[in-house]
Amino acid sequence: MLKLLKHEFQKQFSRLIGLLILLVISEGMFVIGYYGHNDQVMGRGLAIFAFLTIFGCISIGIDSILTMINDLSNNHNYMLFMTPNSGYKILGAKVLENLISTLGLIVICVLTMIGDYFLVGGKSQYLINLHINTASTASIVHSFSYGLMIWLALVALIILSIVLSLTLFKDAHHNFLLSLLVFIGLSILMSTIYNTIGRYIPSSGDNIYNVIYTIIMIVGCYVTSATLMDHQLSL
Amino acid sequence: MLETKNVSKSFLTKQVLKNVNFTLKPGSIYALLGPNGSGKTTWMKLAAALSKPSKGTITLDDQPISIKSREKIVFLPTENFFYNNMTIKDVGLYYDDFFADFSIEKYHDLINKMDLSEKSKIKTLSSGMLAKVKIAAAMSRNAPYYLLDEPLNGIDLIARDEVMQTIIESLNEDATIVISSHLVEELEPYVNQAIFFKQGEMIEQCDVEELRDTQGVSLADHYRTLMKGDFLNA
Repeated sequence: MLKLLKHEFQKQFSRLIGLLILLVISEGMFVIGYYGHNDQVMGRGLAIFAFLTIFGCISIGIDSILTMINDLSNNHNYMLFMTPNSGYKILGAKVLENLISTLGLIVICVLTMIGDYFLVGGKSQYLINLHINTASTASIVHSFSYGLMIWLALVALIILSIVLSLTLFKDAHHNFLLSLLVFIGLSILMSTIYNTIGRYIPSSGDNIYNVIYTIIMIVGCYVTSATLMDHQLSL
Repeated sequence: MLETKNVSKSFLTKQVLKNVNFTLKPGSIYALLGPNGSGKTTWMKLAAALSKPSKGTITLDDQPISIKSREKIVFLPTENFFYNNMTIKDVGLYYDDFFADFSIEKYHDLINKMDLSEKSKIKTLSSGMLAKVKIAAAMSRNAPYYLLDEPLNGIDLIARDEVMQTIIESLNEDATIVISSHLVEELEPYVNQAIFFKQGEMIEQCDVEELRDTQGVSLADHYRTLMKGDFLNA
């Protein structure tokens, strides 16, 4: 699977490099603004950096979906499925690449922001006004982690929709539309199950329930997609 | 041995293979012949574990075809399937990563022999050059079975000769190769067995040399007879 993972990263290489370059430019604006005593440039650099972090995470997810569609529904699928690798490994490499790229981006951005804070900490009224402290940091981390989990669940559901439409409706026309309909159907099903079970969960257990349900959904979508790829997919 | 037993394949409402039975023996070169839509590609994909039969089984050395079979079966599709941003060198490295029987040295040799540059990007290659790269990648594997789906499609005469030469010269004695093509006359000098498909059914399997010696009929003429039902004089 490491070799599959290597090739998944190679496919995304130019996108990741492009993102990193943009982050370096925005960080450069921040540093130039700091040393040039220009709070406006600093602020803009920080805002662009934050935007690129969020945009980067979303674009990594969207890219992985588009790559998946490309890999499954045109001739490039032979590159993966001619190799002696199971659907679990093929899909696992894609999911891992997505996860590592997203987490890697977040780690780079968080470390950079921490570095920025210590660079200017106590000296910039702009950053002091942001009131960054332990509680707000924990809240940000919690929200971000939860958002990341929801995003992964969405990606997993989309992948399952694509695989389902390609296996069940192999020779049908308008495959993209079918994938969309399958996705809508699955979303309704997942939220119905969530709400049905959720009625029996006390409100104190809501957070834990959300996390467990999302994890089960991600794992369930992955296993189902991989199994369908191995046993039902016809190229 | 690669055995096909009572294999049928349907997609939604369309049946593309009907009760196909035959066995491929080691060390033979097979021509898989038939009109468009006769089921040749579908059979190849089933044998290469890229699809599952609706009924029946295909076995490799008495084991049902599975993902693991891809270690012993080389399948070469008609279409270009390499990623566009790859170079010829990248194709070799990719195969080297995933196939234990792939020889990167042999790949380099075949690419050089066919006057191709490894730095060339796949998206810049002509159809003839792409065909050569595909063949080089496939034949650099040392597998017992090769399934080549219309490897001569869309390429000029000289390139076709080069491709067929490369295929024959790269083969081990014990390897079995199945080549599907509409260019029956060009294939005839190289093959010793022929399998004919028509409307999803395997209608005949014959020895090409026996056909020539005992019936005095060329493979192309026999194809015409089977497919059209009459013999056309040249």
